[in-house]
Amino acid sequence: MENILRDSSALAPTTNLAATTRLSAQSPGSQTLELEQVAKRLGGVDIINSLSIKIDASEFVTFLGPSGCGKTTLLRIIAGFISPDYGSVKIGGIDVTSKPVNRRNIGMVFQHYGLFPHMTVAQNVAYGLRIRRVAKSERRTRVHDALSLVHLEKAGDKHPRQLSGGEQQRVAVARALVTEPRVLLMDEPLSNLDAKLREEMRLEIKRLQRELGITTIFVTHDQEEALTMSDRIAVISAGQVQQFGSPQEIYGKPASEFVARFVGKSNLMRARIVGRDENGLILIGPRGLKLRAANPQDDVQVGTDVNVSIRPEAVALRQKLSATAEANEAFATVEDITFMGAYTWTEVALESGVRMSIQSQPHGLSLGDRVSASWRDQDCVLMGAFR
Amino acid sequence: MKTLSEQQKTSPLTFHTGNPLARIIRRRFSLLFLINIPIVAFLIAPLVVVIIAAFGRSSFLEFPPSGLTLRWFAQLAGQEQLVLATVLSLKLAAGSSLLGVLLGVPAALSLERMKFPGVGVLRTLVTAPLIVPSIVTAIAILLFFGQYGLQGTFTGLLIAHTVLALPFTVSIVSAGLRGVGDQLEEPAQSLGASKLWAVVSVTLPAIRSSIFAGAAFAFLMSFDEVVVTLFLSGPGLQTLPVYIFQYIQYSSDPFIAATASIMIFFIIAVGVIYGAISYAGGLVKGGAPLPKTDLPMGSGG
Amino acid sequence: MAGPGLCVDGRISMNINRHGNDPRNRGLRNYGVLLLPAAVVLAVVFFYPLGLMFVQSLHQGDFGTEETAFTVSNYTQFISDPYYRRMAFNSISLGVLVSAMCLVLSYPLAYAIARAHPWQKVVLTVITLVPLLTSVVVRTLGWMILLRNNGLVTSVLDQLGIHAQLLYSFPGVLIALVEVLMPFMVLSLSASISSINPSIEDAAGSLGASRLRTFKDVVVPMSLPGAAAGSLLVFVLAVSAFATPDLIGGRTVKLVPVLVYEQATIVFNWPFAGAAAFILLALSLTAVSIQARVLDRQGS
Repeated sequence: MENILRDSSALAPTTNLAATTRLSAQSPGSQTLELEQVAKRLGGVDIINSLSIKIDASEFVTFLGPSGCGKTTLLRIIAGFISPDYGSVKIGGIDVTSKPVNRRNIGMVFQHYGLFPHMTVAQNVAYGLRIRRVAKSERRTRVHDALSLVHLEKAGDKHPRQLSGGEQQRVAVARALVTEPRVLLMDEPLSNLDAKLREEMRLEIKRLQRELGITTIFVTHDQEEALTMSDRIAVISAGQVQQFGSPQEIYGKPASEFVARFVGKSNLMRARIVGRDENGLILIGPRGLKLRAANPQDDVQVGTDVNVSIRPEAVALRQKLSATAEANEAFATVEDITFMGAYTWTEVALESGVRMSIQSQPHGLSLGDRVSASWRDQDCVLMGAFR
Repeated sequence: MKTLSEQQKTSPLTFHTGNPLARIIRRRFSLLFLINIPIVAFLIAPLVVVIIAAFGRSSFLEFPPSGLTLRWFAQLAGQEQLVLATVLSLKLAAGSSLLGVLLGVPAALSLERMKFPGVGVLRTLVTAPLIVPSIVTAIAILLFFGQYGLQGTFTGLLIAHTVLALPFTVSIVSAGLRGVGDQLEEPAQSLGASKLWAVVSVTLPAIRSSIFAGAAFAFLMSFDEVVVTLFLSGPGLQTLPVYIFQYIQYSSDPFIAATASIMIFFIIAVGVIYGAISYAGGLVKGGAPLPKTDLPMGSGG
Repeated sequence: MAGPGLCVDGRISMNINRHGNDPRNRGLRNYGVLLLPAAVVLAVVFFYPLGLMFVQSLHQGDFGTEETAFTVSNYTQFISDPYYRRMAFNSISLGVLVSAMCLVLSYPLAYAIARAHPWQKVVLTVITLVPLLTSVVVRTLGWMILLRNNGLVTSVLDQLGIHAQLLYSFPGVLIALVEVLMPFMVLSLSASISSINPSIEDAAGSLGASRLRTFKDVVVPMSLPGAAAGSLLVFVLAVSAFATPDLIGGRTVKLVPVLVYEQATIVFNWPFAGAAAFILLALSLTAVSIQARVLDRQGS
């Protein structure tokens, strides 16, 4: 991780700083973005269900969700390609719901890049400026600035088809930023790139966003992208926001089973709250598995069923067995070991029959070994009352 | 993208020596090659025959000719009727391909972008002149033109040729539009363009190779058309194909073969120019010889 | 086909839109307007004349003499007279024979085009396209030279002991039309064969199938949609062809398009020419609808 970070700073020569400051200095300032009770039905199906969300100025927010969850529809509603059946879209506090796309002053980066094949890179970037009737000389400097921002100042005369996928996407970013939009919308912009390039572009987009301070919405189904880039993540499913919070919150305190499953891997189990003491809650999981959870909310009722999530990396495996199992500890048999390089996946079957996945440092265990699996109280995350 | 080795493996025409596999491939190549020799010969036979016969020395059309001469080509220039026919053919072809594009591009845009269940029916109706036998179209238009005195006029021919050109321009431009979809218009709109301006400034330039191909096809179809033109032409108003048709109905000599050869050379020249412009202008990616269309092209005998 | 509910930017979604106007429709409110010029031209110069001819075909007598009574006698005459029935039969058998022969001759060439190296593909495509783009009159002239008595083809046949009259005969028309229409079949087939993944053929080969066997068991069945499309296109064009049958067949080969021509321009019996033309049109449309249905079934 640190290596990649160093690479990216090497990628960004200091000469770009001037361009960056010029762009951000002229920028109309980042704007807040607000959706109020937005609803959209398409083909008899509710794509978006009375969805509200408020995004702060200069914030990098990711809409994360599986395909078909409505995240792209939502982005297109913000852009103005689709108008909502109900609700409003406000940019910088001003209602733009009935404004057409071209009047919203947004910047958008598309999954398929959407570069104009018959124009050069410079003409592509200049397109928005021409429409805004920016004078030719100013246009030239701004195009150059935008291209140097994405390290493509030398590619201005090339045609898009002469560029690689990553370069094409950089041009698309430059084109979206050059008009100094109030918000930047990105629709799965990295999904057409190969894995290595994707990681590079993540950091570069994040760097640009931070330097320009532009309010950005980034749509993706890739949880790793969401976790690494975002200030806040909105996990979307079935046309609604399931959870909206920082990557740490989303990962560490998933609000629902859906979030826990979708973001990262998780050992999920159903448990009943049977008691409460000064250290937190006492729960009984499947087949009598004893669990303890650091008491997060005070409103949890004893006697209710809840979903419990334990992240694979929170579980420790020990060969040496204690005499009796404590809470949050279980005896288990190693069933599968997968070496992943930096870490090892271990599948174990608890005596209670529950299976768990554990991510750990490479260990000396082998199949069939009897081990104890344990985790801390605070890693045992409750996800709301089970209905 | 296929890799080179993949192509070699699958291509029956690959010419390779060396390893046993390559030898097998070569055997396939020869079988397919041998079968195709007479087929290709059959396909181009009439064109070759016409060109060779045009050089025949005898004043009677003979093939193979007993001797060669250029005098039939020399005679072409002096034929006023022939010059008039050529000029008319070119004027008609240029005019109808221009009108075909002017009417066809908006029509294609509208057919591609309108979204309602009946749009397929509209598309079929616009391309109907391709399905209706040209002899039927010919007498129907003749009947209609007869009532308005358009029969035997240049205007009448131009309108009729435009009707015949429309299916080509519409279908080729439609295929081009389908290729880009509204994938370019959305970025343009997000950059501040109105919907109309996005179409004009981005989509149409992006599919200019399709528009060009549509115009080229319309041009060639008009230039070749004989049946409808035969019915609508009048005294002093003959296109080149009609001139040849009427000539060979009653007699045939090397002179008319020379005329026909000129048409063949012209088609080849147009093809070469089309290819050159496409390459030079970067219009056709990879120099694809055929524009995309989902409709049958050309006119049947 | 998308149902009305799926129309993203049509009127229907505008109706349920609280804000009244969908921003997508601004600037270019209705694409229908763009269709109008072409639609008007086609309506006036194509569909109206067809309608006019249809009305005409339902009347008796000469063109111009109006006030004749409505009658279907032109159609009944065509259908009941054995002479015309024979003509229709000739036309249909010509169509069937031409498409069958085109199909057989086009497969090897189409296969070569589909599977050749790029440059060979270009050469073979050009060989297919140049005849297609050359006027039918020119190619027919070539066949007139080749097929006439004491011409190249008849001389060769004479040597073989076959004495045949080709020019002004049905076989002559057949040969010329096969050549004239073959490019359509080649293009249709090669498009279809190109879409077959070559690895399927390799797989057949790896399973021990010979080259010919692979062609028969894999290529032919998988390219059937292209064969169906090509055959019916060639059928329609062959049935309605006029120039080639007229020049090669002269007045001796009786076919429907030639009848239409004679009735309209020589006999001046426009109503009967119209009726014959509509019967020809009906024949074509039937074939087209069969093609559509076959392709539909192939698709599903």
